[in-house]
This record gives sequence, C-alpha cells and structure tokens, in this order.
Amino acid sequence: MENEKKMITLKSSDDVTFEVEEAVVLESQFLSHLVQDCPAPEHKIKEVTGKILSKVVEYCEKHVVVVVDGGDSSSSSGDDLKKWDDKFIKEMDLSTVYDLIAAANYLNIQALLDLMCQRVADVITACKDHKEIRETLGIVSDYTAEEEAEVLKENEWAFD
Amino acid sequence: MKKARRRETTGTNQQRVTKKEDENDPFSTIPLDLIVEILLKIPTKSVASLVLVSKQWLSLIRGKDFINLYMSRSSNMTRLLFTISGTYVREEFLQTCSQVDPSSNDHRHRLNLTLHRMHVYAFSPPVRGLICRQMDSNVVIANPSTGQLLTLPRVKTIRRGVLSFLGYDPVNDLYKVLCMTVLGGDQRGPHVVSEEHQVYTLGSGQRRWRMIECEHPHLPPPPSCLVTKGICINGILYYYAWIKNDGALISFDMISEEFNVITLPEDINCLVSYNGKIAISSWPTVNGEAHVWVLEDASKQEWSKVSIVVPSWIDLVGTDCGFRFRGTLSTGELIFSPTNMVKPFYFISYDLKENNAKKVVVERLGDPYATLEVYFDHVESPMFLSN
Repeated sequence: MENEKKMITLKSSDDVTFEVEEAVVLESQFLSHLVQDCPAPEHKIKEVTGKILSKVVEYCEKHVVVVVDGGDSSSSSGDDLKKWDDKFIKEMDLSTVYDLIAAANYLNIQALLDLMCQRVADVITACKDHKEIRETLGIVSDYTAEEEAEVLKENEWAFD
Repeated sequence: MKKARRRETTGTNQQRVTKKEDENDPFSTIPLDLIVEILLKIPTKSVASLVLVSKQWLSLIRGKDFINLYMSRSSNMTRLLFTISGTYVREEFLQTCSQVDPSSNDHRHRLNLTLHRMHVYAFSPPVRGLICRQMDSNVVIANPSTGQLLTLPRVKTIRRGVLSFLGYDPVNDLYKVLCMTVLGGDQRGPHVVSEEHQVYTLGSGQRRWRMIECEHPHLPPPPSCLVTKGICINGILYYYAWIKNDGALISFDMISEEFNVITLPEDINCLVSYNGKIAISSWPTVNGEAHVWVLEDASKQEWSKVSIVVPSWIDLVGTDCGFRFRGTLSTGELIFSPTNMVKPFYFISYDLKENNAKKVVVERLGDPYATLEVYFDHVESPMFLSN
C-alpha cells in the first residue's frame, strides 16, 4: 500500500515518548476513543510509566502486524503469535506483570489483560501450597493461626 | 512484615492504577475484579484449595457470584465423568477428563473413593457439577472436580429401602436431594408405592430432611433396575416409576416441590436429555436404529417421535455389543454408550449435521478390568459443599 501511515505519539507518565502507527493505538479501546475524540498528534498517558508503556506498545505492535499480515493463513500466524506471547511473558517478573495488568485494564486491551491474568493463574497453579502462593505473589495473609487451622481442616479432602 | 492494606475497589480506572502503596504486598495493588479474572483461569482442582491463601480469597472463591461466573465459563469445556470400580484391585474412584479429547492428559484427575466405601453403580447422574450417591440410609454428595465429599444427615425412615435423586433449582440457585422409601427387592403391584418423601436443601444450614406430600402414588423400580437414575432439566427432576402396573414419567418441580405424572407414549424406562428436553429412548438395534419420544409439552402431555439411524453402525461397533442411547450433548452430537464392558472404553458420537458417526476411545482409565459408568456434559464447579 502506498498510503502513508498515520503516526501517533504516546507519552508516558515519566515523559518517555513512543511513536506508533494509528493501527497499533486502535488495539486499545481507551486510546481509540481518545484519538477519535481528540485528534492531537501527542497523547499523554499519565497513569502508565515508560517502562510499562514500552511493553504495551511492543505487544500491540506485534499483534497488529500479525493480524494485518495473517489474512487467510491465520492458523500458522496464530501459532507464531502464541509462541511470541509465551516468550513475552516468560521474560517478565511478576511485578511487571501486575503493572501490565493495571495498564491493560486502564487502556482496555482485553487480549493483553487475559494474557497477563493467565500468567498469574499459571504461577498460582504451579505452586505446591498456599504458603508458596503467598511468598511467590507477595500476598500477606490476614488469617490468624486458629482461623487458618480451621480452614485447613475443612479442606482436608484431596486427590490421589 | 506490615499488615496488608485492604483497598476498596470502586471500579473507576483512575483508582485501579494507583501506584503501589505497600512494597511488601505488591499483589494488593490488583483490584478485586481483576483478582477474580485471575482466579477464573485456575483449574477447578486447584481453585478450591486457594481459600487458604487469605480471607479475601476465601470470601471470593466461596461466593455464589464467583461460582456462577466460573461455571458459565467451564460450561464451554464440558467433561466426561466416570464412576469406576476395580474388579481385581479393590479400588473405586471418580474420574473426569476432557470431553473433546478424552485421551489427552490435560487436567485429568481422579478422586479415590475406596476409603469411603462407596459403590460406584449407585450414583445418580451429575447435576451442575455435583453427583450424589445413596448408601443405605445415607446420601453422599461429591464434587468430582474439587475432590470434596459430603455425607448428609441420616435419612429418618420407617421402611428400609431408600432411593434418592439430586436436582437443582435454577431460580433460587439451590441443590436439593429428593428421597423416598421403597420396599427392597423387585416388588411391583398396585398396593406397593413409595412413601416418606423428603427433601434436603444443600447448604441451607438446617441439617435436616423435610417431609413433603406426594399426591401421586408411584413406585420407582429398585436402583439396580433403574436405567437412568433421574435427570434434572431446567429445575424439573424426571424419573421413571410404576403406577399400578404401568410405567410412567414422574416429574418433580425442584422449586415448588410438587410431583406430577406424565403418561408415557410407550413403556420405556431409558430416560435421556434430547436437545434440552426430556425424552425416552428405545434400545438401539444391532443395526444402530433407535427411536426416541421427546416430551414437547408437559402440560398437554405432548410427545414427538424421532427415529435415529446411525450411519455405518456395524462397521463401527460390530454386532457383539449392546448399546444404550444417552441423549444429545451440549454440542449437539447424539451419544451411544456400550452396555457391556469394552476395552479400551469407547462410545459412539453421531454428528447429525455432518451425518457422520465416530468411535471415541478413552484411553488410560486405570485398571483394565475395571467396570465403569460414564456421564456426559459434566460441568466443573469450584463449589464448596456444606450442610
């Protein structure tokens, strides 16, 4: 296509700027509305840091490209995309995942939100017990020892 | 370590992205609705034990909203549920596996019942994730997906034989067990009827069976002769029974707790769910032909007849094995399961739209000599069972 692609600049809370194609911005429901309602060349996103916004942009760029290129051979590109997603999350620590959950929720990017929630769910499932879950996720228990013993007793049934 | 700060989530985007206030508890920055999103993605087997993580998780996971949300998602991934009994190795268990790909290893799990001295054949079909088993005067409810078993308070009866059915009232979101006393053995006659009809509401906290009135004298056959141990569809429990000397369909409304009698167009005791309606099915012939009577309107007692001929039946199953029609799956296929043991276990799935029947083999069911019963369209529930 010869049409010049429309570029939009996003600026993070700590003033890091990202120049992206309009199609990338449209992956986010929040930004789609923002761009439509207020056609400025630059948009400040006060709630998201540069570190996190760079991840969001990276994700959206990848997903836009695949959808556009995919066309009729969507199944193989779907597999590639899944591999890319797997690599994308594997390299990330949990605190980045939490921040991305908040950012994806704010920017309304459902696929990214699902991916990040699935990541946390997988981490939880891989833990051997509730203590490991607390440690891994950084959750402070609000149970007293007696309460915990009671719930533990209630949950004694188990699989092979 | 500092105590976690509990934050109320108001649902506005502004508050959701407030930066971490407490570095010791980074997880607390995730709003409640997104924690729910995360928990919904965890396999049922694991999710029930997560109540131990914190009080917040306990109240989330035990909440009705969460259970209903979880089940509406897992209803797209229905499973096969097996009740299995070892013949030589003395073991009994409940096992579930994927319905789409039963031989896959994905989230297969089994619940060993050997220690609980359950008899796998006396289970009634699963209702919305739970299954129920009669054991003398006790009724045991099991959640095969979490592994929890709950024995209900003993049924108080004068007569010895107790028969029970599990049902679900979708309006009030309640599971109920209907039980009645019958005489032991295959006694059938105009004067022998079920008595002492009682209902138990699961999770009500009342811990008691309530006596109810039954204005329609009837007698369900003994459990060993009941082909289908009750089917609950849209809040109505159906079961086959004798009225005087004739077979009839009994309906029990789980909401109003009233019995009704529906006249059968033909005396058949094999009940199935056919595209969401109650139906009775003839036994398939060796050529794979069966006919089904579907109850179109209970108030007018209107039935419609459907004839089924499964293509290439003999090529698929030969002529040695008997089959039973099991009704339609949520995905529309017609299902036939063998009445005698086949190794490895398989069933026939007939896709009407494609006019194509196939044999679905289920590998790795444990002891190769085990006897088993299969139930279809089991939906996984994280529900915690309590009296």
